[in-house]
Amino acid sequence: MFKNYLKIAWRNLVRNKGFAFTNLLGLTIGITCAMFIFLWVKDEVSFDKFNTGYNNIFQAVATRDFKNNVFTDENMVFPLATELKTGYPNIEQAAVTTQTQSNLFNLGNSKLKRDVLYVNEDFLKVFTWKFVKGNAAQALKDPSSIVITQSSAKAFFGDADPINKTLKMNNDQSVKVSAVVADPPGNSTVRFDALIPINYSSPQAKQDMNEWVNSSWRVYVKVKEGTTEAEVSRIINGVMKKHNPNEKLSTYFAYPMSKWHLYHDFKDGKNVGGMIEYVRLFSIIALVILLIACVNFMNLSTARSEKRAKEVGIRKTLGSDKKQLVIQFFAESMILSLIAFVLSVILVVALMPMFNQLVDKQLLLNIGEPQLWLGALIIILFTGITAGSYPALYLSSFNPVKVLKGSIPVGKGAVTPRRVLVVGQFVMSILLISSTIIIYQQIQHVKNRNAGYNANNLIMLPSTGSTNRNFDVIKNELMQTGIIKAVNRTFSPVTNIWWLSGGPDYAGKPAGEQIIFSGMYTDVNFSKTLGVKILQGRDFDGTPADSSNMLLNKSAVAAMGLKNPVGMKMNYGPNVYTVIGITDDIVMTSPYESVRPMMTYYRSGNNNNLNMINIRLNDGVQPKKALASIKSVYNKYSPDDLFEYQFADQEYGAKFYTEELISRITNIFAGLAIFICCLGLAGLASFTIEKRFREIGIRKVLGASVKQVIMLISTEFLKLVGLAFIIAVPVTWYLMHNWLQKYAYHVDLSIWVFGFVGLCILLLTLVVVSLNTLKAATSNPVKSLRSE
Amino acid sequence: MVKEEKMIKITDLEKFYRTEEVETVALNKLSLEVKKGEFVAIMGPSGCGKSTLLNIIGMLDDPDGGSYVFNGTEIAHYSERKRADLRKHNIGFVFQSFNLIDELTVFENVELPLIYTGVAAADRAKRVEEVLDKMQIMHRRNHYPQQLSGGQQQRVAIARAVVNKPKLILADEPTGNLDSSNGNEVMELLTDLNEQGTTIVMVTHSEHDARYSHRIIRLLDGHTVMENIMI
Repeated sequence: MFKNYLKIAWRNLVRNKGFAFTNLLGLTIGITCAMFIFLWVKDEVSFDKFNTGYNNIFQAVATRDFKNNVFTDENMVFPLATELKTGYPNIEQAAVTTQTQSNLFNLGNSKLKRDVLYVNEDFLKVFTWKFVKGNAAQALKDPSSIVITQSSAKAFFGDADPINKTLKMNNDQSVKVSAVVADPPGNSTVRFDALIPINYSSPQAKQDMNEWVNSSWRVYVKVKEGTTEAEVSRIINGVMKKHNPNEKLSTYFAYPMSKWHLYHDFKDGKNVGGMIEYVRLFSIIALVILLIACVNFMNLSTARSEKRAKEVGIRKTLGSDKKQLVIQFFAESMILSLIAFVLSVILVVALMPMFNQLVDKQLLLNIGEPQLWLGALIIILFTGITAGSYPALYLSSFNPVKVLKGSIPVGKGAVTPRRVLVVGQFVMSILLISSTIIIYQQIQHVKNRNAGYNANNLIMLPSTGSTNRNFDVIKNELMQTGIIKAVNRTFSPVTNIWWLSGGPDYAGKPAGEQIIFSGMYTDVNFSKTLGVKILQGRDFDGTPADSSNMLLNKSAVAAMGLKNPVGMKMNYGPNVYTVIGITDDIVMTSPYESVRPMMTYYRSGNNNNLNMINIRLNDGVQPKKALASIKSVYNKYSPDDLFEYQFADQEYGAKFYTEELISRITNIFAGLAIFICCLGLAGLASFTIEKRFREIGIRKVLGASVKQVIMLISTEFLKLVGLAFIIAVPVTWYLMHNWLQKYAYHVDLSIWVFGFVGLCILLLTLVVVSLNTLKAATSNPVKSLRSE
Repeated sequence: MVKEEKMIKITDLEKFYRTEEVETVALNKLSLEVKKGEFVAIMGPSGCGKSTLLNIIGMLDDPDGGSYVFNGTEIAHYSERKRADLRKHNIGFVFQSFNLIDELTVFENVELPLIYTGVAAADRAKRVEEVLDKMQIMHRRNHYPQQLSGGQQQRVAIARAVVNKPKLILADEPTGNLDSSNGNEVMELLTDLNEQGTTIVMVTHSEHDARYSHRIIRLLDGHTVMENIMI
């Protein structure tokens, strides 16, 4: 019996090539989208799962409550790890690491920068790293050893064995390769190029090992199976409170590994999600596109009902019951779904490099993976069952007596479900397209935001010991090139905040007020080099008095509630500073967020707090030419350091990475969704024309023009699209309004977006329906009347 | 030879067609009997209820009133599923427009009733070949319906109707779409089947075709107005 179903299904496809092609195209696009999204989602949810004991690994973090500013902080004290490891049986391992540091390595004449983590031995026990050479037990025993990744080993030593080879680090320390580990997988949150054991005998380590207040270590624990997140949080908080009984601002908790990637964002001390939102969003988009394609199949199948009705009648007359017919029609949709899936696999393989580029990942279609087959099965069954459901139930319900007489039900019962499906399709499409435009608007809105400085023609270099010692000469030589407008040094790049702290004290400060400030050091020409506007007062001018002067930004003045800030005295630490100027707000971190209050202090000469050299190029200078000149000066005075540079505009642009990624993906999927919708619309138009062919003939005989016939058919569809528009607008408004609320700096929703989308969809509908109607509208009416 | 056992006994059968505004009486207290092995022709003007009657006899439709006893069992109130089950084992259909499935070959069209009655594949092939041979259409077994003439298509339709060896064949204007030569051939085939014991009820407009039957029942406005026994 089943063979018979397959046979007739196959022959139906072969015989009705147009129908099969349209359906296959829609379903193939739908399944291809779903597969790409499935692979992306699979990768996103796989983060860190390669670690043995994934569910038992936690990071110690703190919620710091500064009243006006509650934030989540991963900076921890070193001895926390030691005490957790020794004093609590539920804690099996406690790793402690620095933040990633970019260190310079020399081997012969070659210089390379690599990201290094300083770690204790438990780091290799908490996390699961694959040793290619050497072993975990010995890798970190010697304080002068280094564990490098496979790609670093290749970069330093080529194919030679790196074990026991020595590298020079930061021009002053030799490290010996003790082991090689595979590169951290792409889905690892913890990333590094090299690991160096903490040198417990160094003065810094000795100091940190007893420091229970200020420190910036990262602490990770691996706990015994069955230990709950709440228990681990209680232990961590207990240890910290025991050693800081008077510290009331912080609450410590365990942040589980399962949330590190997907739930990475914290706001006001609360976890507010992160990539999980996009995982959900894209899963919904995949489902929506697949549903739109399935609806097409339903519409096109029922559009052909007249042709299939006779077959249904005959089969019923010959003894088939409804169940057998339902199975038959499901078999047909399953076959189509299977073929579409095979085509999609081919497309996915062919388009994978492009998709990887689009989403900036290295996704693979690994056919040996059971998860993939399960996913494939779910997609095929979902598509086949969803697409086949309505046609199967609709077609199998035909009364054999009526259909053999040539009478197909065309009442409300037959037409309404199809209309509902089309409205649903267009609601989803309008939602996707409107959302895409709003996401684009939001990105443009933020991109056009006044960053508070001029990122164009601004080059940033790391300032090393050598460059700080020789800075005046370097500056002079750079200025003599004639292509540079200004040079200065700052504590951090203008595209990042490296210093957060409580703000200064001042006369009239409300009792208990705690405002978190970002901090900056700079030498002269801060305003000229970075292009920062001085709103009141002046910039530092390099006089000795500047060491007691400071700048505030606009947000700081507002947060502190100052009326005439210039000239005010501020106490910061043991020193007293005079406010000499107010700068515009500089967007240093997320351009979507409000600018923090900032305090800027003056430093000069050979100062360790001036880490960046900022170089403002003259207008019209080619960056390539400028870089060659700058490199030549840099290498002359800092021959042992690697010449590294960043363009401020590129660094600023990188802040839009996630949103632009989301925008690119939604653009493509929204485009495909509307394309599939139009296929469906064409299908439904053909159904309507088939049904009304005789009516069209009669109208033409009675004098209707081609235009009138087109409008007759189009009006029906325009009404449906109009209804979809009315439903989609409030839904989209609600969803996008909520999405925008997560950004402090966001665009206002405009009704014109919906107006534009509505107009485009209406025009598109008119075009698609008209093209389909044209053939019937221009055909000889005699033909349609004779066919009756 | 006509046997006296009754295959069909219909009493006071009623069937109405209702729209929102109009109720049409298709069968109006119609009664008739058909004996096993009989060849009965039903005639009457368009709209007199011939096809409605045939559909109810064929269990494709259910009556609104009256009684329908088939082979001694009252089936007027059978569910659709029960009717379908009874139909596929007992009744073969021949239509004016052949009603072959375009996507299936001659062989596959004839095989279809056997699939629905659950006959094993090997047995199916044998029985289909036998009946195609008997209908002299074996050489067309792999052709599709559109590749056959009208007469050949009706032979295939008859082959399909008899392949399950039904007790009753219902023919709805079986020669309506055929020329006289092909029409006569079809009527000869039906006569042969009847002589081999199959009961036949045929709806026709053709007096010529009706003469092949044993008895003509004439309908008007949904009930029997005359019966002619053919000698």
